[in-house]
Amino acid sequence: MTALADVLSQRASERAQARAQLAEPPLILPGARGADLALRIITPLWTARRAWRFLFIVPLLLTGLFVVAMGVTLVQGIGAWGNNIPVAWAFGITNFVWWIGIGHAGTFISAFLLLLNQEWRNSINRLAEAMTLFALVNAGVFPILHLGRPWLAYWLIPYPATTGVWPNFLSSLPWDVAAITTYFTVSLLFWYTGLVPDLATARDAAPTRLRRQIYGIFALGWRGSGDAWRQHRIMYALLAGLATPLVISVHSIVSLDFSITQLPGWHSTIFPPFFVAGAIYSGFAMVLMLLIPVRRFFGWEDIITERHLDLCARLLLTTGLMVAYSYLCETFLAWYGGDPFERYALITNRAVGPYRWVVAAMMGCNLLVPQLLWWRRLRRSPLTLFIAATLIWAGMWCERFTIIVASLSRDFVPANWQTFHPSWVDISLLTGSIGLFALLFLAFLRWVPAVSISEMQAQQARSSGDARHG
Amino acid sequence: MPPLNSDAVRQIAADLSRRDFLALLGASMALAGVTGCVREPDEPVYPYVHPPDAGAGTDLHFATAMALDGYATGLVVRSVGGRPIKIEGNPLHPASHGAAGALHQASLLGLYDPARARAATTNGRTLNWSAALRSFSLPALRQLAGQRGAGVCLVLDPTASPVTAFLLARLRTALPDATVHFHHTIESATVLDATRMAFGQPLLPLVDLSNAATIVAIGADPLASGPWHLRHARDFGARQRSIGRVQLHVAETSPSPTGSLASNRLAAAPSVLSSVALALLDRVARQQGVAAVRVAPVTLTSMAAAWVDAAAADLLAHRRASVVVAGDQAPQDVHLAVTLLNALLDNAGHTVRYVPSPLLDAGDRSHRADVLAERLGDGGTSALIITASNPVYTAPFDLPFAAPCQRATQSLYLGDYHDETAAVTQTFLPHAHYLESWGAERAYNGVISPVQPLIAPMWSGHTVDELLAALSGDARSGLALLKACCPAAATADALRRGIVDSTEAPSHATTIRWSALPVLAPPALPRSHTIEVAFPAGGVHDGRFSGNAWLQELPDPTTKLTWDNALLLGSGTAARLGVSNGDVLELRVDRATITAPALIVPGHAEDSGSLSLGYGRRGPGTRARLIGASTAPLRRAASPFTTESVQCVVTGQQHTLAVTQQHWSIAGRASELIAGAPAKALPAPLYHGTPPGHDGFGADQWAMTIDLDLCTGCSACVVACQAENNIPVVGKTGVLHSREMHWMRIARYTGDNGNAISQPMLCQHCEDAPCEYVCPVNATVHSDDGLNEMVYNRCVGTRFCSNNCPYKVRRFNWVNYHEEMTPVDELLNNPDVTVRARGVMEKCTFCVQRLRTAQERSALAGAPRTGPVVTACQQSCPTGAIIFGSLTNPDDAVAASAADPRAFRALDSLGTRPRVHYLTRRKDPA
Amino acid sequence: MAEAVLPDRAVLGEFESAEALRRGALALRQAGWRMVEMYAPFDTDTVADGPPPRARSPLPAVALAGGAIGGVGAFLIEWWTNTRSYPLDVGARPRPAIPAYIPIAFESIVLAAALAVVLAWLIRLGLPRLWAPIDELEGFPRTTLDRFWLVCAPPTTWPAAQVEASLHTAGAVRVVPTGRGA
Repeated sequence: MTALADVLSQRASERAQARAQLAEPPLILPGARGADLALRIITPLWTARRAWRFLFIVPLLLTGLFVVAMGVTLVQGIGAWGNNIPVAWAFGITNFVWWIGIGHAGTFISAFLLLLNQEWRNSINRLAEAMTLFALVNAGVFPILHLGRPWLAYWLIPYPATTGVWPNFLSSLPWDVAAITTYFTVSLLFWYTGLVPDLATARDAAPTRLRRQIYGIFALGWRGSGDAWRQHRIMYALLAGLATPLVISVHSIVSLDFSITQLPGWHSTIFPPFFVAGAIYSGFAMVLMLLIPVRRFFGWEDIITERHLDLCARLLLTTGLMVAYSYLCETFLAWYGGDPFERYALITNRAVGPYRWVVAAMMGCNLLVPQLLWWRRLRRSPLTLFIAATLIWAGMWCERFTIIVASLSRDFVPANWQTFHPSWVDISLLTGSIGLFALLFLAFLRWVPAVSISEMQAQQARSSGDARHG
Repeated sequence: MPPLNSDAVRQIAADLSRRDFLALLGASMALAGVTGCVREPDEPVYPYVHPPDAGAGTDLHFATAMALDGYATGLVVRSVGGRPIKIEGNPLHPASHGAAGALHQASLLGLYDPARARAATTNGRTLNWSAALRSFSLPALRQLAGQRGAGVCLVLDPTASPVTAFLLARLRTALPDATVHFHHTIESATVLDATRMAFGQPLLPLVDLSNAATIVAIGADPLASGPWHLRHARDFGARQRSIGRVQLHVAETSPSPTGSLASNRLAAAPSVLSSVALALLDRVARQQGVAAVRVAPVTLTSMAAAWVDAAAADLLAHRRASVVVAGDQAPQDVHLAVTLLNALLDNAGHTVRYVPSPLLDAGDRSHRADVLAERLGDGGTSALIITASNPVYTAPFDLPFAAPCQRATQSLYLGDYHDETAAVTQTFLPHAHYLESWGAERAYNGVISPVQPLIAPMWSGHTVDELLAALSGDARSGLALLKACCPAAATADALRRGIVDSTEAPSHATTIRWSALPVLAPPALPRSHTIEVAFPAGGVHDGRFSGNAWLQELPDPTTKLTWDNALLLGSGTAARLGVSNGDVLELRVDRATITAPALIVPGHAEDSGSLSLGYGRRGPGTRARLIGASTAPLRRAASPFTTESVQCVVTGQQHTLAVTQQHWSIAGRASELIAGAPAKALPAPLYHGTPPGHDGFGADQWAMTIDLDLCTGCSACVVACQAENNIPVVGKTGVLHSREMHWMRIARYTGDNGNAISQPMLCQHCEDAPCEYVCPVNATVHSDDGLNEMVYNRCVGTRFCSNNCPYKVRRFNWVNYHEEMTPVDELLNNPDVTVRARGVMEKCTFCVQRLRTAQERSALAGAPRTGPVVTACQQSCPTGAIIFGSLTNPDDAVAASAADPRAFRALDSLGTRPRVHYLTRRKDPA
Repeated sequence: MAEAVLPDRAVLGEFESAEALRRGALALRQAGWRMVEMYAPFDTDTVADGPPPRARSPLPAVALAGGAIGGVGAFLIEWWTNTRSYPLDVGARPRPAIPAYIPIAFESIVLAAALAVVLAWLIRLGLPRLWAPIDELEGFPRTTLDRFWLVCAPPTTWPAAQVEASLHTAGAVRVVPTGRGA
């Protein structure tokens, strides 16, 4: 706690130094000032343009497909998928790992950058946290859906059953349950408690009585008294302190689903850091995929500035390099270790195996594309950035697929080697989950303040105050 | 026949015992208009003496016999609650010695096949048996076909049944001019012609491998096919175990299970095989200085010559202790050469005896297809009576049955299904399954076995004997006929033990009539731009099992092909034709053509192909309609199993073949998989985990060894496992998704020169099982006696265990495979084994139900377990490659076997500590 | 104790910016006024230069307690169920397997701590409380948008006019008596 207090006490001096060093334009451009900043964030909630209706069409259709595919899976069984022996895990777990990884960027931005006192997070943390939540919704669907008998999923939770049998805590799957539950709960709390003051703003600014009542209920009667703000500040810092190790632990545990086995291509000690880096990598890619259209659509270029894009892009490049390093380690150690099975799984099978094209896509998207971000001009060009982010986002799905399917399809006994071909249900579940995400995110943009008003106002007051002093 | 009132059956079955359920099922059938119902036979049946599993109450074993191509194999059938549920070999029977082949075991499924014909019909009208036979009574026949029955023609399967012989003789006296024909489908009588030429009398070679040090097989698969193959395999296994590696020289067209064990193997087209046989004969004769053998000059390829040199050297080195065998389908000249070789080597009387064929009228013209063709063609047939199995389908191109059937004034067919033959005959009678029949059969060596029913006919079927009796006005039932015609087989003792003593055929002293022998010349080689096609018996035999899902889904030992037949080609020929797997070829002979997909098999002879019999059924009454290609248009009665000069045209079409194995190379992992370093300090420590005795089973420590020097890959164990453990079939699409459910899978690895090794792969019951610790719900855990247990009702289906199993021996219920089971199908389920639901994992249990039964029995008796516990796979293995037992029990052979210097554990370097040990192959002496 | 207890003399002053409020409050405190409470659209402590005042709060302690309970509880459940309640031979792996119990124990620490903190926060602020008397104050809702209120009391009972005047001089744009006292 003292450490936390110190962090808080350091803020002012650090802030001054930081701005002195960075010969950067301010995070908020002169355009966004005073109450109108708050109003610009709030008013879209009740002055929606017609375009909204059309935006919802495609996500709704895809979500419908998602529901149908889930229905088929539940009625018919996993046989509706393309899975087989040896490839007993395929799209289902690939999607799970991919979505939960994407979630990590949100927590990273809101918690990590808060503790590190990175002011620029204020413009984007709300969006990023929402992304985390909705990604986790998808991530939560797949592990249950992929069970042979999903209606018995609760057997992974320890409860006093009449059989007297308990879960086996040697297995990493109960660890997953704990990790995902905790991660979703904490992310939700973090997002909501940060949202309460803005909901109060919405309550007080809302035009109609009904809206006032609805927002009023969710605002819990927040009035912004000095004491309330102090307690909020501490609570928020504590949650950040808890969420920071959490975000590291979650994908480490997910990676253990693979590294506790002895399957060549899974059985690797570098997985936890490798997966965490990959998770934040894919997450920042998706953050950019969301920020760029949103700022354009709402005309928030002066709230989410090119500098924000630049900073995200830098983090994208950094995590991208970490992932590249992991690929290098993995391959080198497979060769250096000399184990014939490892060598086959990680070198031969990936180079010339049946999934070499997926491997090629993964390498191209995850290793080559981020190298563009060395150029400042590209980092600040929304279009380039959007395309690069999308490629990386897809590339990371290919990485999960390669790790899971390519390794399973050719393990120890050549007579057992078989290839996996996705069924239409597999494809529908993947695209459908993307549709569900889009639907939830659009709803969030439509009905929830998408940028943290109070934090932006505080930041703005600071800058004006400093301007006055300096 | 209207479908069963299955809803009622299910609803009632829910709260009734199996036995009551059967009665109700029967009732529901009766209601549905079926005469007779499922119940134990009325007549006294006698349980097998010393039942290996002497359970109380309704769990009994009965000895009976199954005849295939006329030769009997003695079986022991387990019956529970009046339902036969498992077929095993009869240890007392000479053709079995306790082993059972895939066909025998799978025939159980045929009994419960819902597609079986259920009622007698005349021109489509459903009648009962006697009414249907009215127009075939003696007076009716005499009036129709002349007083002496000149117009009567009977077509039977080859049979050795003394009962049938008696009844047929009686019918012949009643209708002296009636003609009787025996229709051969997958073997020919050429061996009898050869021996007649050599000895002056038609005799069968009875090969005894139990003291053969060198075996030369020409176009033969002695260990895995033919009426005597189980005995061959048993003797071979015993011999191999006692003296180490037997020298096995095999010359064959398509790689066979026997060939996979050969120390010296030659792939040669059928016509080349004749040359090879003659060359070998010539070589041995010269070495022996026997001038009487006159062989025209033979030209051989260098490889063939090398094979002949090696074989001849070994043969001469082991006179009296060697044997030369030819296949049932081999042409006469090969059989003749083989007969002479065995004589030259003095093997006759030592490794081979000559006995008269037990078949009725063996060697007689009534067995000749051309005679039958002539008889059918002459149009003089007014009453055609067919008991042979579906000859309209099985007959070669130039032996047309359909037209004569339609031409005949009266035609009658006793068949299992409403098949192609039933479609062209007027009167149809349902044939009783042998498990529903009384009768007697003879083994290849003449020993008589009684056939006793395990269950009363489910669908009012009757036996051939009952039909023949009825034709001559005798309405007695099977048992009465058996007592009358073959009393020796009807005694309680014979019925218990399944054999009639001292009925073995006497061996004849033989002398070669050298002077009468012609100059032996090899056949002319076929034209170069065509190929020779051989037609071996397929996985469904001659097609009589094509409705049998177990056999359809049983991967072929060589190609691992399921649910299909394909034209097997050597890689060179395939390259010459420019085809790859699945390319559809049009095969043309004269004007007859068929289309079949190509399948490239390493080690197949070049310039030739193999297309197995029994597929391409077009008729109704089988689940197997339109599966595969029919061979009939290419075959000629003169040489029904090979056709020369077949033109191949690539059609450009594609056909998807469901092959269960994709990779044939061992990918440089031989040392880990099939030739591992001897396991260190085996088998200690037997055990760690909870202290032994924790659940009362700690006394035994179960383990298995599998001898790769004895495994031919014949796959009898796969069917045994399927029957014992209620394993479902998944169909062709399931196989294409690689979702086969077989707990026992036989991996086959092939080298460049076609040499192959088969490795049965099943749950290895690792002591440090990787599958167990990854299960989140403790659904797979370890028992105190070293079993890797799978708790179905605890499994939630994460499939994590399969991912972490290095051997990938776990199977997953992707959908509810038992949904399609009709109430009739369900009758064959083993009540001791759970039927797995959708979404749960399953795998080999070491037949835990058998272990627990034995342990509970010894616990009840308060005495230690006596006698071995056998798993289903071990029990069926013809060569005895599988040894199972407790490492802690001195009586069990497994401990000694696991300590064999050849023993190793697959993927031992992973530290999984498997309880299954493999014995690696011995190196061939240089 | 969401709302400070208002002494009779208390008045409310509305300011237009955090800076104005800060300076006004400073002046009044020097004049001996008693500061009671303030309302602002954002956390004004973080605006002024220099470290924000150390706020007294039970939340850190609550977090510690929650985390401890969660972690120890989870570990005990794992240990007891797998080694005492129903011991099984699972792949011949040792029991107890302490390292395998760590991930869930850790996650439980975080989960329990987070839930405890948020719960304690709500209790401490008396939320949810959908209505409070001050909501009736005309113009008060703008607080959550761009207005700042100071609740303070003069050192002694002054006439209302003097109170209002001194507040205005302190920078208040509007002054509202609490309606008690004068």
